[in-house]
Amino acid sequence: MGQDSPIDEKLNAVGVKEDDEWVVTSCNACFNICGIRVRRKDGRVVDVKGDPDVPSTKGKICGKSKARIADLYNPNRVLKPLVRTNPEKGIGVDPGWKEISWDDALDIVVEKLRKVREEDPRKLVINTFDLCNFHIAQMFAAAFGTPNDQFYTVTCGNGLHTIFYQTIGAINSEIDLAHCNHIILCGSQLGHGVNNNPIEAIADMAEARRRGAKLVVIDPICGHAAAKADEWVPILPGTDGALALGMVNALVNELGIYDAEFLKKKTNAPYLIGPDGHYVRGGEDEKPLVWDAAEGIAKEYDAPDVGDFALEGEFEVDGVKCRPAFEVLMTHIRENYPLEEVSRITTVPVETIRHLAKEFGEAATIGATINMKGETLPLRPSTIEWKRGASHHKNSWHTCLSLMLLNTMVGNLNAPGGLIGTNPHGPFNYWNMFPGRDGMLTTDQHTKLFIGMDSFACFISPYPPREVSPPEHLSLRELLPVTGFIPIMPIFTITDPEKFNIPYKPEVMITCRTNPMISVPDPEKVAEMLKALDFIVGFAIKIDETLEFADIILPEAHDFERYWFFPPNAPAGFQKPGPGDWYYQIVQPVVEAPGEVRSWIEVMIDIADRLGLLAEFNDVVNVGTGLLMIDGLALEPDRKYSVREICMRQAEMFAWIADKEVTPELFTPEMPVLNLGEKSLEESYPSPMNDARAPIYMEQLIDVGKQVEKVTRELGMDWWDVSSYNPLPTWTPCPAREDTDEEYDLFLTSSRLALHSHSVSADNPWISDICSRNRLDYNILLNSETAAEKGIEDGDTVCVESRTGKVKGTVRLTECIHPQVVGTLGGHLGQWAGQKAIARGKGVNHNALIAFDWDMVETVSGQIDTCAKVKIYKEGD
Amino acid sequence: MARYGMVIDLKLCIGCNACTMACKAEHGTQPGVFWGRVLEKEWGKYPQVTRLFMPVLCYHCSDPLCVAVCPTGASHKTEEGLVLIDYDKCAGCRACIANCPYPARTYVSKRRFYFPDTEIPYGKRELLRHEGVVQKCDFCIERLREGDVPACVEICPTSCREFGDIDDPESEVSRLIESRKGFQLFPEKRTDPSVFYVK
Repeated sequence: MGQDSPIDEKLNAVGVKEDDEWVVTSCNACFNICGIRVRRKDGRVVDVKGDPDVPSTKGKICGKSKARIADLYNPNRVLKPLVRTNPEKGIGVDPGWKEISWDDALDIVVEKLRKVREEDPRKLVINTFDLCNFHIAQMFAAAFGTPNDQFYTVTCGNGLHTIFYQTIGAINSEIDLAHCNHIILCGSQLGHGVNNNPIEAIADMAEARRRGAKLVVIDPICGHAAAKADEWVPILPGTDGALALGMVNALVNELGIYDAEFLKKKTNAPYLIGPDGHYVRGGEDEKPLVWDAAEGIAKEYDAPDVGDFALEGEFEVDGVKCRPAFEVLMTHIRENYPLEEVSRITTVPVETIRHLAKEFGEAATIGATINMKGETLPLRPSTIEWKRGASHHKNSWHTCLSLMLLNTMVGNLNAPGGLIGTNPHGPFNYWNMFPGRDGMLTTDQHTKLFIGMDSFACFISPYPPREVSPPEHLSLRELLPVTGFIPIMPIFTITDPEKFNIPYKPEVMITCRTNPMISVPDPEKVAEMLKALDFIVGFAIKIDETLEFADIILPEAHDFERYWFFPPNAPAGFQKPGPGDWYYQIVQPVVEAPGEVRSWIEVMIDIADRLGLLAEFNDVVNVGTGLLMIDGLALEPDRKYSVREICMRQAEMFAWIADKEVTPELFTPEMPVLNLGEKSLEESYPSPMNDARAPIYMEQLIDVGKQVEKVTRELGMDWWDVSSYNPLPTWTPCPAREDTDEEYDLFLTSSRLALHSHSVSADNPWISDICSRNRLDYNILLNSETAAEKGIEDGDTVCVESRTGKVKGTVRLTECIHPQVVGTLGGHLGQWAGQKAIARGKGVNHNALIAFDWDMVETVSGQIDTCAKVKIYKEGD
Repeated sequence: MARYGMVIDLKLCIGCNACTMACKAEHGTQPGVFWGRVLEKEWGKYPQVTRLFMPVLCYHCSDPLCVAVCPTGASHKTEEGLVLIDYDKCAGCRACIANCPYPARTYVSKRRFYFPDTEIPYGKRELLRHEGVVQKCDFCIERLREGDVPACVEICPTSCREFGDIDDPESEVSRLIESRKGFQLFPEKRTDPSVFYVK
C-alpha cells in the first residue's frame, strides 16, 4: 500500500468529524447557472453532479462543472489580504505582495473611497462579471453615488443583445429545438456545449438530431458544432451580415418565400416610408401610416379596419410619394446585395447561398399551424441562430439585424420551432414585451429587474432611443442611445477621459471576477487603462493578469463557499425559454472558506458600513430587489445583513408572489428549487399572441443619429462616426478587411471548446490535462494548402503576427479551417500571471493580436471589432 | 447473470469531454492518465471534411486478451462481464497493454499529483495509492453496486451513452444494437467487446 498524502495526514491530525452530504446549489463554471448537487464528505468537496430535479438541465452538467473541485483545492488560491509594495505597475512587473490584516486592508480601502467620495463619487468605477450578483455593484454604486457600475470585460456582442431586445423582446435567443427541423448556426455552437443555457441546449439539440432535424453551421472553423452538422459552410470572418442579406435576397426576391401575414401584423414591413426615409405619419396622434390595399387608402398602422396591409407598391399620401418598408428594404437588398457580390465578400459560392436560402425557407412551412393548449399557433420549424462569432465585428448592429431578417421573413419569432427569446415575459407579468412607441416591440425588463433604475448590469433598453446628452457614464451610454449592452467602453474612457468629455478623472477601481487583461483585445491598451487609475482594489480567488496591477488584494470565496443574491438563475437569461416551469435555484455554500477568505459581496457590505453608507445601501437593496413590497422583509436602515439573510428574504418574496412558502426542505435534495408553476402559453411563445411589431426597418436611427451628431459636434468630438445610423441593414467591412497590405495576408479567428469559459478555465488542471492532449486544442490552426504554400509543416513552432502583436505556438495543419484564416481553438489562453501554475504559457493569447483602437468601435451598438489580419511564419524565418 | 455493456451513439457525441472529466473526477486518476477519453479524427479535403469524436474506454471483452496473458491473475473477469484489475496482484509487467487491441490501459509507475504534493479530493482514493501497476476503466463498479450507471453515462449531456445488460434482449442497449446495427471495434481480434458503437 502507498502512503497517506499530505492532505490525508492533515485531515487525520485535525480529526475532521464524519460528514457526508449532498448540498443543493448552482454552478458558476460559466455564466450560465446549471442546477447542481455538491457532495461534501469529511469537510471536503468530493463530487459534483447535475441536479435531476432542476427542470431545464435534468441532472446533466458539463465537464467544467465537474472540474470545479480542482479549482477549489488549487494551492495557489489567495488566502489572506495582500498589499502591493512595488509602486511600479506593468505587465510582468512583480507587485511585491505583502500580507496584511483584513482590518488594515479595509482601512486603506475605506480611506481611498472616502477621499474620492468627498471629491466626486463618480471617480469610482466597479469592474465585475459576477453576473447574477450584479446587484452588489449596482447597489454599492448607487449608495456611493457613482454611475460607473457598468463595467464588464466580457464581450458577447453589443449588436446581438440589442437586436434581440427589439425583435424577440429578450437579452438572448435560443431555438425552440423541441419543434425545429432545420437549424442554421452562424458563428455559434448552440447545442454543442457553448452558448446560452448550454446543458439543456445540448440535450434538446441531441433530441432534435435523433428526430432527424437538419443542422447547417456557418463558421470559418469546423469546430465541434460544424463537425456534427449535415453541412459546414466556411465563410470569411466578419462577413456574416453580407451572407444574411444575400440569403434574404435569394429567399424573398428570387424565391418569393416570406410570411406575408406575419410581416403585415407583427413587423413594421407595411409602414409607409417617405422620400426622407421617415415613416409617413397621419391622424391626430401622428401615427405611422400603412396602405390598405383593400380600400386603396392610407390608414394608421393600428386602425382596426385595415383590410389588407400593402407590402409592395408605390403610393401617394397627401402629395407625398411613399412605399411600404418591405418594398424599400427589398429594393435596397436587390440593388446592393446581388448574390455574386455577396459571394465575393463572403467566399460562399452563389449556389450555396441559394440552396441555404431555399432549404431554410421551405423548412419554415409558412402557413402551417400547431395546436397547443387549445390555441392555434404558427409552426415555423426553421431557424437561424448566431452569437459572438457573427456579432463581434464593427458591423455588429447591421449584421445582427440582417441575420434576424431571415427569421423575421419566415415569421418564426417567438413561435413554435423558431427563434425564441429568453423569456420576454417574466413570471407573473413581472416584466413584459409590448407594443411601445409607433407600435414597435418594447420591453420593460430592464426597469423591472432592477426596480427604480433603468438598467440591470450592462443591459439597457434600446427602444425607444434614449436621450442624447454629454457623457457622464464611463460607458458613454449618453452617446450610444440605441444600444442594449455596453460592457467595455471604460477601457477607453478611463485611459483618456478628456478625449470623451468625461467631466471627471476616474481614480479608484474595484475589480472582481473579471480579467480584462486577458478577455479583451490588446493587453498593452488594457495595461494603460489600469495604470491610469490611482488605486485598484482587487478581489482575488487567484491573482490574475489584471489583479497584478492592484494595490490591495482581498481574498474572494469560491462559489462552493458563498451565498449569492436570489435567484441566481434570473428568468431573463438563465431559465429555459419556451414551454416549461418557472423555477428558482439557489447558490449556497457547501464548505467553509479556507484561510481568511471572504465573499466579496459580504466585504462590499462591510465597506459600505465602514463608509457610513449602510442606511443608503440597505435602502437601495430594498428598492432594487423589491423587498420593500412586502411587510417584514425590507431591511432595516442601520443593521448590517449577511448575504444569506438578504438571499433568504428574496426567496421569501418570490415564494410570496407565487403564493408559496419557504419551508425547511426547500433548497435541499427533497425540494431543490422554488417552483412557481408552469408557464402560460403566452409566456412560452409570446409573439404570436402579442401585438408588438419587430422592426425590419430601423426608422428611429435617422433622427437619433442626427442628435448624436449634434451633441458630439458641440462637444468638439468631430471624430465620432455617425455613418452607421442607417435605417436599412447594410454590410460594411471590418477595419482589418480594409487593410489590404499583402504582408498580412490571413484573417484571424477563434473557436471555443466546451471545456472552456472566460479566462478562468485555462488554469484548471483537469481541463488543461484533457485539452492539451487533443491534437487541435490550444494550438494554431492552419489550412493544409495554405501551409504548403508557406512551407509550414504540421507541428512547427510558428509566429502569428499582426500590426498589434505577435504570438508563438504550435501549428496544426487541418482541413477544418478556411484557407484564408488562421485560427485558435480553446478559450482565453496564453496567460502569464505568476500564480497561474497551470495556465501559464499554455496556448496562444489570441487577444494580443487584435487592435483596441477607437476606429475598431461601431458607434451605434458600441461593439469593438475582433477581426485582425495576420501573417504566419516558421519561428526563425 | 447479466452482462454489463454500453452502446455509444457516435452521431450524437459532440466531443465535449464531459465523460472524460467525469471519469477523472470519479476515479481521481493522476495527470496524464485517462480511463476514458474522446479521440478525434478528421478526414476528407476542405471543405468536404468530416470530423469524428469517438469516446473510448475499456471494452470489457467477453474473450479478453489481457486476462489471457496476465501472469499473476490480476486482470480477471467477473460474473457480470466486467474485466477488472486486482491492483494488489498486478506486478506491472504490462503484458496486458501489449496484447490489448484497444487504447484502454495505462501503466502508472509512480503516484503523481496535479498540484505539487497536493491531492484533489475524490471518491476512491485507495486506488491511487498503487504504484507500478496498470490501471483502466472498471465500468464504475462501485457505482454499479449502488444501482447507479457509470459516471460517463450519467454526465453525458447528449445522452449518447446507454448502459445495461446486453444479454437481455429486452434491454435498451440490446434494442439499440439490434435496431441501429451496433458494431464492435476490431471484431477481427475476436475479443467480443461489451461496448458497441452506433452511427
